Amino acid sequence: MKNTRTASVPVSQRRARCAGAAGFTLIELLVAVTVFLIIGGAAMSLFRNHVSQFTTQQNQVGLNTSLRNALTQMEVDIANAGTGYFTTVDKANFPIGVTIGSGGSKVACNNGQTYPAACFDTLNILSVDPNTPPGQADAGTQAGCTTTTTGTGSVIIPPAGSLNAATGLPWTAAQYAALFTTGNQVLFSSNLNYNTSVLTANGAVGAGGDIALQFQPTAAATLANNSTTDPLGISSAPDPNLQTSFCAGTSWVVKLAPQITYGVDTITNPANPALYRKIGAAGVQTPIADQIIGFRLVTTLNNCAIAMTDWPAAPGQPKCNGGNTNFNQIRTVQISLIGRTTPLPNSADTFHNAFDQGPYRIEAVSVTASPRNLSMND
Amino acid sequence: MEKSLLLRKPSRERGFTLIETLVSLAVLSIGLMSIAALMSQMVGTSAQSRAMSTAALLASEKLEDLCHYSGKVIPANLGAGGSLTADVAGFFDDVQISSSNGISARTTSELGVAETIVHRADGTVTVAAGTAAPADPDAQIYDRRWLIQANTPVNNMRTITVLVTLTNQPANSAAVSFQVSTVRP
Repeated sequence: MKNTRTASVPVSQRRARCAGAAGFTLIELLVAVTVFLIIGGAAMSLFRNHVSQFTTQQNQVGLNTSLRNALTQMEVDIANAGTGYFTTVDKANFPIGVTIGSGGSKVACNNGQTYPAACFDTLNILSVDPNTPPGQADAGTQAGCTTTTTGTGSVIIPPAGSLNAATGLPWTAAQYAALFTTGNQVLFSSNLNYNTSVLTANGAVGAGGDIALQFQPTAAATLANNSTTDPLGISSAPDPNLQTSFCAGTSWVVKLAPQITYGVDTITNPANPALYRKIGAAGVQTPIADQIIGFRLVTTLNNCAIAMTDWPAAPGQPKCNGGNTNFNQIRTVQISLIGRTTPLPNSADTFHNAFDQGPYRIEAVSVTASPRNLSMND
Repeated sequence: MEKSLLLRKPSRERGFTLIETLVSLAVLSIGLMSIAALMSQMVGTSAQSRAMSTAALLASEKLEDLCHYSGKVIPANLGAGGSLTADVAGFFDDVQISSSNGISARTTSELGVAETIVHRADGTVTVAAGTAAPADPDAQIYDRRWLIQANTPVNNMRTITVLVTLTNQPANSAAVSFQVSTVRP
């Protein structure tokens, strides 16, 4: 009877029962709050861990994507290296399309997490200027041949049968001369030999409609050129094909397009070495991948057993196919790219990599790209 | 009186029996276990897909390299030969890419000289004779073999096949291999 709910239960009794059975005591409340705090705290710390892990994963995915994108862009550029050499020009023994600038001897070069320029190579991708048809050497006033060591004037004429796209008519001497300007990199080519130089004056129309070119004098035959005549290092190693005499009827002058250069910018932000791509020597460095800590290039050579890791090839390095190893022997370019996620503030909790225990992740990619346009003697 | 009421109270209210608790725990643990298995499988699958994309990349780059030579001048190592089932000197190489410390290594025996090129995150590049890549527990090692068949499928055509196999597959992942082939004059 006492436990039966009826309207007849006195108010004081009901209040007493409610207070005793339905409320929480202070102890119960404290225990509940403590349990809640412990569980809530654990959940929060789990969440906090998860957030940092999520960020790390995001960063790693971002790193992977940026490395892949950079590689894809390089592969496309390398595949197109050497475009235009063999369309109209008699083939010389120089499938040049790729040159490599070595950052230095490839020893350990990092200063902790900072990477100086010596840690990175540069890659130049060359092709013929598509708007400038190769000029044919002309006897003209040069008595039949141009000697490149003098630097004064290779005489050329526009190639027969080539039309100026702007007018639809054959090139006039003045139109053609205007294509050659100071600073252009040109290749001299005969059937078997080549040389390279930089123009020192704009092309000018001379006697008989010939176009005279002024350029930096090259080194003597078979000797390597220096950075004045050959800033891209096309002929930076001695080569039996490097000749100095280019005669009418068998020789051509080819103007190169501004080269595409890949390198790593260590100056702008030393904490973030960025892989850049630029067009032409004075071009703007467009960053294509951040936090690059390794960019090295190795090449395999045409039918040569030894892969080249240092360019230009040192004189002591082995010869391939009886010739010196040079850029005209490149078959494939092996690209090693190493990136890292942005280093975090160092603490015991952060991830530490296996390379230098730094608070960032490291990822490496290694691919080989083939310059498709470089003919391998076929 | 008050004390005895308090003591009796739990027995009067219906709690969970041991069996109920055990059953619910069993159901919960089965659920949790399957979620954990799913998670680990997801990690394995993502590692596998990464490895497969690398394998595809390595296969296509080798195929492109082998296609570089036309039929006129084919160096000895690019003529007919090789195998997809065994390493044949001159017709295989290894690519080892670390997932943690940035080391990438390539070993090759092409053109009769065994050579290993290693690039490390400190900027060093080393070339050594032999095909011994640096020991690296985190490395993925891809074995690449190619087979060149002369006069296949018709006379004066070559069939070039490249097979890339991940030799140390990640945990919880199926075998990773990628094969690609082309026909060239």
